Amino acid sequence: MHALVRDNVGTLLWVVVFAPLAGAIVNGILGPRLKRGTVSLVGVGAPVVAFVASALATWGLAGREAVSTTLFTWIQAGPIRVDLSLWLDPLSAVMILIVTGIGSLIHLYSTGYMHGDPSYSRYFSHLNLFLFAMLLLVLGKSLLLLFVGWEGVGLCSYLLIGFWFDDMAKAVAGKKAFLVNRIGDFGFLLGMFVLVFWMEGSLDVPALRDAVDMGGGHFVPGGTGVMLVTLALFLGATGKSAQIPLHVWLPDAMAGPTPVSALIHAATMVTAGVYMIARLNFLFALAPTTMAIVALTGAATALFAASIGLVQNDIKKVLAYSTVSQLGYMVLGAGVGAFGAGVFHLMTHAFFKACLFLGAGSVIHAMAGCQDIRLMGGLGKRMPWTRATFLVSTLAIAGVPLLSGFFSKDEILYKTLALQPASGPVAGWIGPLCFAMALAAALLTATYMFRLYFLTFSGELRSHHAHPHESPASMTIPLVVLAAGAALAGYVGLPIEHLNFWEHWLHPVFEDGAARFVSTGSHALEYGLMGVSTVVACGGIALAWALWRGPLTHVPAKAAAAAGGFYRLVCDRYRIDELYDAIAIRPFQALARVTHRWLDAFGIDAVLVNGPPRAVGWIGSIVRVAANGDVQAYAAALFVGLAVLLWLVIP
Amino acid sequence: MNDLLLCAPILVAAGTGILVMALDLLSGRDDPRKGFLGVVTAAGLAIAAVLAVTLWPGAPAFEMSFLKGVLIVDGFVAFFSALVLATGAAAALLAVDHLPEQGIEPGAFQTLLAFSATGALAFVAAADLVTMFLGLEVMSLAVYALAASKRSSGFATEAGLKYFVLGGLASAFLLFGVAFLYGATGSLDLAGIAAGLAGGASSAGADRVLPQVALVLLLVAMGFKVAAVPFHFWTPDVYEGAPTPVTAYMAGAVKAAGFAVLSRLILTVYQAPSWGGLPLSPADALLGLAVLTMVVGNVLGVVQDDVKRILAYSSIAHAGYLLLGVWATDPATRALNDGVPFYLLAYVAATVGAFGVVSLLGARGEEDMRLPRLAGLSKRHPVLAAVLLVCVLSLAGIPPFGGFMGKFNLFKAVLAADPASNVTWVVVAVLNSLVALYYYLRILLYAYFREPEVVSGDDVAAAGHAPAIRSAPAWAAIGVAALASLYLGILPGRMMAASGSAASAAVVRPDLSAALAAPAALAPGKSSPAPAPASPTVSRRAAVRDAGRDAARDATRNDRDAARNDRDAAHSRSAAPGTRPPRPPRPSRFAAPPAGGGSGR
Repeated sequence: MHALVRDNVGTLLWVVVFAPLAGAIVNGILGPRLKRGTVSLVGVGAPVVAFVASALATWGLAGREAVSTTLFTWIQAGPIRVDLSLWLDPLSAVMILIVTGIGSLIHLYSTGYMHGDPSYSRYFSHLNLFLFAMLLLVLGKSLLLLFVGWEGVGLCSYLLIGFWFDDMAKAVAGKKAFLVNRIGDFGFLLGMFVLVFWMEGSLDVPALRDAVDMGGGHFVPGGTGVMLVTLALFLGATGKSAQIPLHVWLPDAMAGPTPVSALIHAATMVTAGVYMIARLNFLFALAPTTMAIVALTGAATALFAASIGLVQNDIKKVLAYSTVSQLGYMVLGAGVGAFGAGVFHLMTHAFFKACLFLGAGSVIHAMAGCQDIRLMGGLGKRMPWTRATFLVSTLAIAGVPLLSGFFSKDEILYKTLALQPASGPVAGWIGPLCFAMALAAALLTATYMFRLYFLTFSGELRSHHAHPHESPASMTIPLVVLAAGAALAGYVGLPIEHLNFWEHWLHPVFEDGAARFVSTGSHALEYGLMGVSTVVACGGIALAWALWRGPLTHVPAKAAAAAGGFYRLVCDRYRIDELYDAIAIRPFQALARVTHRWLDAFGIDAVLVNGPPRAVGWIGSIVRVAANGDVQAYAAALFVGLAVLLWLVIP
Repeated sequence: MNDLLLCAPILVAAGTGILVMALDLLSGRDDPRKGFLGVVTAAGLAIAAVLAVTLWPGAPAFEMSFLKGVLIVDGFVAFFSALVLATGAAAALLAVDHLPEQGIEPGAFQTLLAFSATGALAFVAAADLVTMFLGLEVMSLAVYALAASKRSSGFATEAGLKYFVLGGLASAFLLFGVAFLYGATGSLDLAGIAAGLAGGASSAGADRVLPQVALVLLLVAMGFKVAAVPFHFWTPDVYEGAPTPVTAYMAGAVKAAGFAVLSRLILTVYQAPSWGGLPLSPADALLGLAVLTMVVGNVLGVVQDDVKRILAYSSIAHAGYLLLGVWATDPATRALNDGVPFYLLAYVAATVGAFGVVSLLGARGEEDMRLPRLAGLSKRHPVLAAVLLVCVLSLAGIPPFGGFMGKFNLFKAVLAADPASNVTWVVVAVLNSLVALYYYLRILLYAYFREPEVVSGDDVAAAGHAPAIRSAPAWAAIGVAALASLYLGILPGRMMAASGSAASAAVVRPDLSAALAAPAALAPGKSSPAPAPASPTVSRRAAVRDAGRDAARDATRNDRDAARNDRDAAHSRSAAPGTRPPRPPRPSRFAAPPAGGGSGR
């Protein structure tokens, strides 16, 4: 059996990629004419098939470094050659399991959540299409194919954020997400173009890795060229993974249906940037400066987003900023050379954040669309399953020991202090600074998550209009599965050498990148930091309890009043959107208006496009006077023509 | 017997007319199934077309004894005859269900159509000017009557009358021109006139005025038939007023026949090297007409609101491009520009298709086809709209349709003829095509992007809600036209080859009947000409021609020349025809050294 699977991994990979595409096509074209049950079957069946195939493919992969399969040559232009090839290695195996596994659960959940929606089949078509694009992103052997998936998920994200496009605000949010991502894509493209020249035509990741291994040419450790290329690629990652300064789209993206937020804007798509850095770890590791910038960006984003999360009152906005913050951790992990830890956090985060979002969806469902946590409270009694799973996931994200988030976050914190580039640190203060910011963010995470939990589930219901009730089984079953994952997923990466299955599995992928970093840490440091983390997590929880549940409930309002301007600044998300509006959007719109009015409407439309026809028409309307229908006049014209010709002829 | 065989296409076309007349008489006066007359006409003309393309391109292999000097049959004639006959067949099919709608009596209509096609064949195949005139009149008189065939409509009657009066004028000019030519050369057949004019090259200037005036008169007459500016004024009025199938026939067949004769006449008669010293060479006149025609046609097309008038001006503009093609002969070979026949083919297919769609929309006695009547066509009749789309885009010269390949090849050939100086005129033509886009796209704009205005009651028909005529024969015709437009655009190779071989045969070489150059040979067939003493002119022409040819053309042309020489020789010896003896040594007169450096036009 294993041999059979082993020999057919390639075929399985195509099943993985094309099952969701088939689902998207069937539901997209036939959907409106199909019965709702059939739509659900196709929509959920496709990711389940993909998941089973993914599991088999991963099983078949075991023991090998990678499996590659080629369908056909996509582009052949001079030296440039891009095959439509899939590439399964331990990293992409992990990713496809996360994408299809969590994807399947969220699809199942959606059948309950989207039950009454008139565009049910469109929803599933788009969601399946998203899976297809995401899997292409993950499995693409060539960077270019990865980019195709990258753009594909961007498109699906746009379509699903603006799923209820008749609401203007939601349509605008979709547009914003797309446009902000374009800025990042520009960087990605730029990096790829340079790489194409360096590689003389091939953009295959394994070929790139071999070239880096060979060294020489442009791939000099610490070289300026490599630094610029990796920075350009990182710009792409900041767009997709919502890092400073391109984080602004993700909170707005919560306009989409909640399962979409869970799948695309928490568990999978937003981690694409982290995945890309991990995928190109050997390249990033060549540029210590870039890595320092990556680490600082990640840490700053983690802290910054956590502080905003503390003052948000929309349940999904809190989770959105929490996602931005957690993505910051992953980027930090990648930036300090702990690629495995970054991807580890990616995986655990996928479980608990998906669970949290789906729990939030369950709450919103119960509250009939209300998302303001100030109006909630006491939901725990009415929604026991939702509450229990939400609590497990909240504990996990807060970093309470023995749950998944604890292990992954702690590993990133430890490696932030312990690792530094083999060629010496770019600057000595970077590691400790990142660590300090990440630790502060950890405290805030525990606080804002439990603020959310307490305000939502404990106490008494503050809204008088809502009649909350537990959600149907199609929604609670995924919650339970995800909560179990949130609790247990950390055990694949225990911080004990010979039990750390995770590091072992991913070792071949990160070998080259990790080799350029040296560890200055020790077990004492590692276990000491565990203690610190535990204290921080528990402290944050206690703080949240005291401020929003316990004896100090009057303090937050007073503190807000005391902080005054700063509090309002945080509430307004540091007014980053306003800043962009002032420095980028308004000038650009003004430019567009001027261009439109003078260049387009006047210069091109009026003068160049409509001018000649008008002139011709004007001439024509004069000449047409001659065609008056009078036979004598026509005959006269005949004679005039003859006379003119004769006059020319007779010498 | 050979004469009869070679005349078969013409005989079949004429026979079709007679058959239709008889069938019309035999069937009852009010037989509702008169539509089959149209099908019979179309079938007859189609058979004639098939005969023409099978018999005529290889015709020099046959012996034509009696009609020698009356008709020429070769690849050129075959190409244009087939085009004329196919257009006639299409018009007959379009008319099948159109006529009852318009209250036109089908028997006379289809008979006239068949006779007109017969006349057009004689016109195209004429070897002497009298036959040519006869053919022109047979063709034209029938068309005058066809244009006025809707007797209940003053509009149509006016169109017919207008066409008749002006056409009569044009025929008079033609006759004048023929007379002048005869006066100048003493010959009536093309080759003889050419030889005569060439012979007169050395004579005094006064002798040259006569043929020059004749040239002008012929140009005016032919310009009238192909609707060249400033002889075009009748075109929009007549195209608009005539029943639409007749319009399709006029825009397709009459124009194709006109161009065939125009190019043969101009190239054969007036490409003598002696014309350079005159103030107006035929080339200058042609170029002037070409530019004027395309500019005026396109500019006036822009301001039209009626689909039939737009297409009328479009056909004028296309005449301009074609005149440019006829003008731009290769100075070395003096052959017809090989883009011209293909261009005509593509133009005729598209224009017949476009008028065909219009004819199906003009139901219930409505000739008025203002643009708003097309509104919403794509929703009401998607297939008709698609055919219109293909044909109009082809006329506009948009790939992948035939019109594009036609324009491309035509302009390419014009450029190739003289890359340095012709580029101006190609640019002018391309700019004209750009202007033309405006009115072509307006048609499609209405057909595809405008909703019909909401009207009530009796205005429904006027506003475009009138149902299209349901007619299988017409649908077949426009379907073939649209498919042909596509075929010519996507796989032009075959037809380009046919066009090339037709073009290469366009010029009737004086050596065909060089001996007839003498006035004594005016009555052909009476005396079998022995190899005449070498006239210096002929030998020089031959030498110039030989010198300027490239190797490939040389081979084929020599073959043909050889065949013709064989034939001449065989004729004089009264040897058995039908077989092709091996190539004999060239007669000595061709081997004469070139006398003088006469070249250029």
